Amino acid sequence: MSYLLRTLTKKEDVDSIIRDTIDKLLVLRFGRSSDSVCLQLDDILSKSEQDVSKFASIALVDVDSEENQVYLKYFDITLIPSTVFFFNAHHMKMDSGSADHTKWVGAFHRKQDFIDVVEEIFRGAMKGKLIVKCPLPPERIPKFQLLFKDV
Amino acid sequence: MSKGSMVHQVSVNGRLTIDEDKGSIDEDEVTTGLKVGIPLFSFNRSLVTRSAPVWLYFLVFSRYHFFVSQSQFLLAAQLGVEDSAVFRSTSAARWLGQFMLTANPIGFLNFVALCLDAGPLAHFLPVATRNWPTPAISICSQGRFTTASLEDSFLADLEDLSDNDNENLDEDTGDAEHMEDDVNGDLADIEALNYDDLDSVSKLQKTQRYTEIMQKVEEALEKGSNISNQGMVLEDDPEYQLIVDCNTLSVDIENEIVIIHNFIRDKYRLKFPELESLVHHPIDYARVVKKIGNEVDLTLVDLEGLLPSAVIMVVSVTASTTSGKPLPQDILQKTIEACDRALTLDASKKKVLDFVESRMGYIAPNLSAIVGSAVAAKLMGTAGGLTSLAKMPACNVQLLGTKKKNLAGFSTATSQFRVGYIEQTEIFQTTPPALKMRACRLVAAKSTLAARVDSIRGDPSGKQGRAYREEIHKKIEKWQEPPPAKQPKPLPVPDSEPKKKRGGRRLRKMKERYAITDMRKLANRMQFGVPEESSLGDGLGEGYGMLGQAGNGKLRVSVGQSKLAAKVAKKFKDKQYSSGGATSGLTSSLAFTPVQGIDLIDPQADANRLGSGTQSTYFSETGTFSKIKRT
Repeated sequence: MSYLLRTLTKKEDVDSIIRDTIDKLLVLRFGRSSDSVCLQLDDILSKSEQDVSKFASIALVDVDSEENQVYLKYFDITLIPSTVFFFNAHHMKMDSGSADHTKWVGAFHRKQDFIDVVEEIFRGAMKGKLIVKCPLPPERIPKFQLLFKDV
Repeated sequence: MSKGSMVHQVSVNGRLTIDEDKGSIDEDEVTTGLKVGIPLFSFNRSLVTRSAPVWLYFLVFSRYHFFVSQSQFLLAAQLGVEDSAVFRSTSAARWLGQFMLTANPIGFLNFVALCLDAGPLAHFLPVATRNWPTPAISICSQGRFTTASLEDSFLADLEDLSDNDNENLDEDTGDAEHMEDDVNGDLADIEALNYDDLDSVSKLQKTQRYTEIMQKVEEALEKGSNISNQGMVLEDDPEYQLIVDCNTLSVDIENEIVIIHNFIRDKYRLKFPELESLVHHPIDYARVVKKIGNEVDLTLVDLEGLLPSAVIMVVSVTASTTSGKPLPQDILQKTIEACDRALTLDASKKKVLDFVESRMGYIAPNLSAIVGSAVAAKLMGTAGGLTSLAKMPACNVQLLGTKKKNLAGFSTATSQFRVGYIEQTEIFQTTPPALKMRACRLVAAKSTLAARVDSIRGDPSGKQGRAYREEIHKKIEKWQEPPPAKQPKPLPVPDSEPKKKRGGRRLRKMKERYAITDMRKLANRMQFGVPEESSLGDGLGEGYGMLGQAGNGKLRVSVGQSKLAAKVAKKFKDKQYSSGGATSGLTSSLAFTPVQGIDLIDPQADANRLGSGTQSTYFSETGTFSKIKRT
């Protein structure tokens, strides 16, 4: 599935794509193409890519390459797949009722859920907000546990 | 004396009666009758008005046969003109005038003068004096031509009467019969057909032209197709002339068939009146009539092959309950003759069409390239020639040859509407049914163009016609292509298109139901420096704002009619009284009260109370303004 979407392995690629996506939401998925949950997410992403193409663009970042480890450290990505949203080089946050607002952890239940999330973030971004509320009901948000190192 | 068997008698009430078996026309009786009648008429002017045409006819007849003298005639005519409004109608006056013009010039002039005096100028004068020079008209208008005075002329006539014996009174019975027919019909309708004789109705077969053309056609058919490719001076070619004649002849044959059909129908109506409404086509009708003949029981008659079986069934059923009676032998004979004639005419029309069809490729190559020579021949025949076909608009060409479908009983079988001979073309037959109407229109349009090309001999080789045919085929192919596949469209950018706000009365009414009421508005405001009352007192609970405070300008704040509540109440009421299932069987509208006795409760009263409670209690509902000044 990941061959349908752009996969980024080098740091420059990631930089350039974040810089160069103007006025469109950028969806970066961090994960491995062999992981099952990643595969699910990738499937949904590839199907909806054409539908949201007017206001969003999607790219996959491979977690296993060495150059991207910087980003993993920066975004504190421990669970895969994790999806990070950018708009005009700003990092968009979403409050989905979970502990981490900076990224979306896990896959989506349906294609429509993903499109809803993207649309909500886009609306918020157009209004100038940097954090938006998730439109999905809690049963459709994948739950995860954050394990803190020291706690 | 004439040998007539009828006598016309003027009866007292002014109507003509026919007295049979009275012997010959007796001149004396007539004149006596006239002498009695005319003074009678002069007394009873109203009678003249009503029966003027009849009376008038009789008068002219008498004059024509010199039963009355000129003066008597004039007197009577004068009476008629003065009194009768009917006489002043165009046809009667015109007829009288025409007659008089031929029979009696001076009398005619007098008559004109009469008319001018009496006043029906507009009707009479333009017709009669069409060819007159103006001096004559002016002379007439100046005064009458005087002969002797009327009374003297009457006296003179009394002596003249006996001299009129030897005038030609030997009018044969044919005239009397004519009169009988005409008297019953409209006087002005001179061309009343004598239905007894077929030959007077249908003359075509006896004409020279018909026999000539048929002969030539048969010869040409036997000769086979003899295509002479001149193309240059076509009009001189005798065959071309023959073809043109054939076209006109086929139209004439059609008309003739219609006339004969009417004749057969009228005769056969006595026997089987419903048949004409069941079988419309003239040739089919003729065949059926010939087959049935004078038969009463239709099970003995085999109509197979003449009509479709549904129609045969209907015909047999109708025949069993028909109100007709068998025809007398001579009328039957005439009817069968007429049927035969119709059938021969039909056969000759077919021959003519075959001939034209065989020459069609030579006459109209382009048209026959598109629709085929048979259909082209039929079109040309119906239109009455290539030039007339070319002059028709395409919509008319499409409808040439439509048959009137006869749907018996409750049949809802829809025939293909608005398609004529075009239906028989190969192109039409091979198109799928959904596209048939469009194809028909297309073919009609192109064939009209081809006919126009052919009428001026613009393309003798037929290349244009073949090009049109190709075009038609291509278009029909294109119509049958599947539509292009739908591309999935990406979603539009959110919030890029502004929402279309609707407006209007309906929306306003809807919004009104949820609008803020006056009470709520008052409750939302507060007066400055005045603490508001609240529901729980002491500032706890919901505040009342300006409600109920002194000095807020409103005398009484009542609960306005809440439209939302009204709608809910209406629904509630409907639900309550339309449910039906939940009411107990022991309820009744009667209630016994100790004071009034039986009290009928109106079940709608409860519901009404809900609505009426919100009505305004200040203003009376029945009273009006006492004085309204108009400004």
